[in-house]
This record gives sequence, C-alpha cells and structure tokens, in this order.
Amino acid sequence: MVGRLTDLACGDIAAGEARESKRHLARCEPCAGYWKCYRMTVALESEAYRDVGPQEIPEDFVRAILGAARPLLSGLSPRAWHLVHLLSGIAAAPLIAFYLR
Amino acid sequence: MPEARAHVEREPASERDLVLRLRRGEEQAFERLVREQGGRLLAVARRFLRDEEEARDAVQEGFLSAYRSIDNFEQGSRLSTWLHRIVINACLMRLRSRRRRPEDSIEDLLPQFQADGHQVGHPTPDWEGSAETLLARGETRAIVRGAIDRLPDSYRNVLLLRDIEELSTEEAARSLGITANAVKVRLHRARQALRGLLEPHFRRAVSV
Repeated sequence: MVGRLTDLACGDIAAGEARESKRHLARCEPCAGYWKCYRMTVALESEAYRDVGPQEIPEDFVRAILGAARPLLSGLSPRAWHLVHLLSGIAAAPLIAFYLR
Repeated sequence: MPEARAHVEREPASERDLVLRLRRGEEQAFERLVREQGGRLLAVARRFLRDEEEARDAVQEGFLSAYRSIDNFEQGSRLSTWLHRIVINACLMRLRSRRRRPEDSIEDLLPQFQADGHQVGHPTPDWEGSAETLLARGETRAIVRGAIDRLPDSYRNVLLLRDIEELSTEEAARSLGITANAVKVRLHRARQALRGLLEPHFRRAVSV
C-alpha cells in the first residue's frame, strides 16, 4: 500500500489504482496518517532551501571567474577556440607518438 | 508535486541577444551572464557540495564549460535552465570523484512494513498543524535541511535533484547515470527516511 501511495504522490499511477488507493485511505486510519505525514514531508523539503543563501554573487568570485575565462575570452569566439584546440591536437600528435615510441 | 516541470517559457529577446554576443566571444556578455546567474548557481552548488571552495570551483567550471559549448545551446530553451543543468552535472562529477567511502545504509532510517503493506508497530503519529504552519516557524527549514543532510549521499542527491532542483525523473536519471526506476525507488526511500527523521520534531504532543 505504501509503495502505491508514493506512486500516487508522484502521479505515476493508473486511474483505477489511484481510485482504489484513495478508497483505502478513506477507511484506513494508519495509512491515512502515513499519507498525511508523507505529503507534509515532501511539502517541507521542497521549501527547505527557499530562504537560504545570498542570491548575489560575491565580487571576488566574479573576478575569479572572469580571470579564469580570460584566455577563452581573448578575442576568439568559442567556435574558433574549438578549432585552435583541434589544430593544436593534430600538430602535437606526431610529437606524442614519437615520445611514446 | 508534478512529475516533470516542463519548461515551456520562451527565450526572451534580451537572452537571444546575450547568446549571440556570447557566440561572438564578447567579454561583457560573459560578465553579464556571470553576474546575472552566478548567485543562484552558487546556492545550487553549495546545496550539493556543502563546501564553499568546491562549490565555487563547480560554478566556475560550469561557466567555462557553458561558454565553450555555447554553440550547442538550443535557441528556444532558457539559458538559465541550461546553465543550471551544467552546474548540477559539474557538482555531481565532483561528488563522484570525491574519495569513495562506504556509505551509511539507509535501512536504519526506514520504517518497517508488514506483508499487507501496513506499517509495523505504532501507527504514524499525527504531525502538528500543516506544512504551512510549520514553515512559518523560524527553525523549521533548518531542521528539514539538517535532516536532508543526514541522508546517505546517493539518496540525498536524488532528493535534491527531484524535489529541490525540480528535475524530471528522466533528467535526474541521466545526470546520475542510473535508470528512471532507480531514481523513483531512491526518491521514495529518501522521502520515507526523511519523514522518519522529521517525526520527532513535528509530531503532535500527546496529552495524557
């Protein structure tokens, strides 16, 4: 029954089974109590982080990200960078092969 | 809780413009993206990694990876949703690469059930009030977060992905490299365990 209640909570249950589960809940006090607490748990955890954390990014962190991105942002578009990487890989391949031999 | 929150919002014109500028490699566009989305993404990474330095590394990695693959961003979807998924994946990769230690079992936190599906022992005690009244109390969110942090990582991650970050079962399964059915089972067990952990805090006092 409890497994079926979880499917009911997720909406992953056939209409017939959902009706049967709801009928059971209407007449079974322990399952109704379990169901109520289960749903409250989901409601509470879904809200648990709503009040957390500054939504602003610290300035030092912005600078760190921009600093790390600078080599990428130095005039070449992302597509051009892919090309540069590809060409460097091709150029380096004979050297790597020689070294491995 | 809807199974999957379909993101049907259309991409606003300003976002389309931002994507075009990012594709041209404009530094100001990248800075705008970082300033607009960084705080929210840092909060997401902190939730998963629970370590400030690692959270910052994951967000930075996410921004750089997004910039490199901006050509793969599909017009029509939301940049914020796309970045959110990238940072979540960066966090999950970090969690996977952390030195593996044996995870605590979740079994001790789960209720026991009889063959007919009813709970063994005492029926679930009634909880005080409603979720809304409990959330109105200052300490409730901290209690719930504390309980979520007590879940073993493989269950905590599924719970965060599905119930907090609002990924669909399929998206969560893809991010974790497990089946959709495994996500459902873990989510169910995580919620059950969480219910047990919260019960001592929220059950109605029984008058004698």
